[in-house]
Amino acid sequence: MVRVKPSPEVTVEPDPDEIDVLKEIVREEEKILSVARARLKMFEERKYLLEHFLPREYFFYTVIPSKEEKKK
Amino acid sequence: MKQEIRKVDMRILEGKLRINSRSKKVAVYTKHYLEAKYGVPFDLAVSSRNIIMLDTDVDSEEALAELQAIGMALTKEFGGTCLIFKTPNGYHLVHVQYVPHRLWRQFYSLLKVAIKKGDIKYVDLAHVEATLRRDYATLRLNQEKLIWSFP
Repeated sequence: MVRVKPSPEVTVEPDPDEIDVLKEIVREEEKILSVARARLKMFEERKYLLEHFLPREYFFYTVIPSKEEKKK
Repeated sequence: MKQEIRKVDMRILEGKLRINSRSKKVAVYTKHYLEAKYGVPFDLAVSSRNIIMLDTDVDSEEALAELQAIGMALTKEFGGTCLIFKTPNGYHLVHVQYVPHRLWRQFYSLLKVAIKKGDIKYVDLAHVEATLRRDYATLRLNQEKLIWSFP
């Protein structure tokens, strides 16, 4: 029977600079996530309007030039 | 062929090109295709010949109150539900009820008269006139948020 010698526990002191960088990354990720969540909510609301309320036979979709383009 | 392309280009510049489709997939594909081809942004809108849709370009409480009053009157007359959405510039009203096309047109004609008289102040006259000219109502889907529904 082979006995495995347990490796000594290693503790790494966290680098303060690294923590700041990680915190920054987390903040950025949260920002992106919040935007994505808002977009998803918006999409859900639109989908709700289009597919739940309006009967399909009575509406259709139109592709039109954007207003910003009209102003130019 | 060249002339045709030039014609289409002019229509895009004037903001008059409109493509209707029953299928959402086709509409979204067309939107991306046109954007890629002409390098100008396009929007997706929802249109109908039987559902009453109104647009206001004024972002004030009075405009909202006016739309709510119209919404209540519509619900009383035709039944169904009235929804008001907040858009970046104002409000959109959607009356979720099938209205026969003849009555639908009649409503818009009466609305036009009321706006010209000054009885209705905040509903966009250009939108009503365009609706009557095209024979269908269109609302641009731009960052809408449901803020009011009746009943």
